[in-house]
Amino acid sequence: MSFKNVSKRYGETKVLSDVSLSLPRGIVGLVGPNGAGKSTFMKVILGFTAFEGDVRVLGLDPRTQAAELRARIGYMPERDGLPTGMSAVELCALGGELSGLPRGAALERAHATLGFVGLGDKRYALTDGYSTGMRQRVRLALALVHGPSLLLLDEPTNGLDPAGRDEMLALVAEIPRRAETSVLLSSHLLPDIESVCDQALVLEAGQVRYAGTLAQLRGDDHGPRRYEVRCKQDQDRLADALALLGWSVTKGASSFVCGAPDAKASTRPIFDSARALGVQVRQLEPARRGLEAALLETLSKAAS
Amino acid sequence: MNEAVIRERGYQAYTGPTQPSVRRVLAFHTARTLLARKGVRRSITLACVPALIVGVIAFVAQKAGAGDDAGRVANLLTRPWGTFFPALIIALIAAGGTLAEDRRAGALSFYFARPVVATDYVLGRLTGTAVVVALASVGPPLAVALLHIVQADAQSVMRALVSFATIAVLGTALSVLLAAYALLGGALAGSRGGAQGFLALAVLVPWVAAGVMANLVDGPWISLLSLPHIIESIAHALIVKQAGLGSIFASLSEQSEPTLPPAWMAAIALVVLAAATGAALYQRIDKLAHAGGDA
Repeated sequence: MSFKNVSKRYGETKVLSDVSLSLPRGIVGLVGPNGAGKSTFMKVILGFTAFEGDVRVLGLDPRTQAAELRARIGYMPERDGLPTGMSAVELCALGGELSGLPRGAALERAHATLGFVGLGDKRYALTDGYSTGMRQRVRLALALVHGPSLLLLDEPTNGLDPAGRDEMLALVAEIPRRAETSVLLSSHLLPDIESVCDQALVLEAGQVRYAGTLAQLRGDDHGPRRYEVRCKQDQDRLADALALLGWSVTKGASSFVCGAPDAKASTRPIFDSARALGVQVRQLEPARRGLEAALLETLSKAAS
Repeated sequence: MNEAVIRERGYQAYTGPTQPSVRRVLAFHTARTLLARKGVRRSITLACVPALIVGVIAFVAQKAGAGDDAGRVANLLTRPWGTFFPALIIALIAAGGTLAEDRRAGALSFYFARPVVATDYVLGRLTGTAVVVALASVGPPLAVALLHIVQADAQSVMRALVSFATIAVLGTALSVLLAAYALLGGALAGSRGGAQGFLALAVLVPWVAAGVMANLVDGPWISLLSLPHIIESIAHALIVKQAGLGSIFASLSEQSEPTLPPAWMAAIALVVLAAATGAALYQRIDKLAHAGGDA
């Protein structure tokens, strides 16, 4: 998927502004605050809306080859809308047929896909009576039934309880392994992105703030090393000693996080200081910055 | 001895053939969904009753040597006692059950996220709805017209054939327009009641107004908006006033009945109504399709 100088306006408002990027295969998380342009970004990919610039998705132009493109894309919209009066298997078979599958193949895949999303035993029931979690699963099955090369998921865990959310995310993570399908997952829930995505695309005010791996976004791969240290006693004394050596220290209730003064520093000063102070270190491990903190930092950098 | 295999039955990539047939699939789905409704099946049964009565009368009249009244068969299509009411009931059910229901349920994205463009959606839905409406509006009159052909002697066979063809063509036009009105109601209103109200307003009001006003205003002009009157005028010219397309031009300045417009004018009105309804429907659906069904 590649975007080159893509812009989109709604009247005077610029929703996407000169977006240029290239997304690799895999599971990409699309994140950004409300009004960042995430939904418009997906609409551009699907060819729903006119835009300026050049877009290629799966080698096709959404402007002129929207129908061919949609036959190869599975889309799970944010809005919970399903045709009424049909069972899940009828609905999935119809979706498959509308995407170009022969009747027999569509029916066969409807059964397989509903089994995959965990609705095998409920597939003959009318979807009108389904719970929110079941409807989300049907909508995922509808996006998958024709075997798309690219899956667009817009807030797939909306309205799900924690267990349902975990199950939905486990399914999403499983898809590329089974069918070599790339996934673009839009969500405002950063833990969702963090648990299944290996790439992230950060949009804000219609502009790309970051496109790359999650590890890079969190700063896991470069920059000063940070460690979380837990001690048996006198934890604050060790923290203060490290601060005097130029380490950045953030104290917590049961542990503290310390950042090395330079990228080449090792853990040796921590152990040396602990030995000198007679403090017993019980736990020491690399401290990962949360995605939320990384995202806020990325957005604030862009703003400044 | 066969080797045992363990086959993965879960979700896999699809590698089989594809065959784009969106319109056929949508038309079939629409027709099947409508036929699953009790009201639709009862309306089709109800439409058979007047056709059966007219058929028996025609059969007996023919046996008694009293000749047949081809106009009565044409009237089956458009008169209140004929198949028009059952067909209208089916159109009303379709108005509330197809596009309006998709919009109410927010289900349009189900279609437009797939390789379905506005033209596919309009033609698929329209064909499916029109076929089911036609089962009530055209099916029974055609059966009676077929009886006429079977019973006709050498002299009257041509007239019976023209009568059959006229009923087939005009009945199909009536069914397609009723279906188009039903979908347009859903496209404009977006709720079941609104769509059904639109259809009732577009069909029933001009129909009643044409019947009442034609005598009051001393002219048939109001009936140019009434679908049944338009169809009846053309059918009357082609069947009752002897067969032949030339009869439309022959009746240029004639009126069949005080409440009916001249056939040529009715033919133009039919074309204009069909074009206007089709254009409005396409424009609205195209807008919905470009919004991804979210509008």
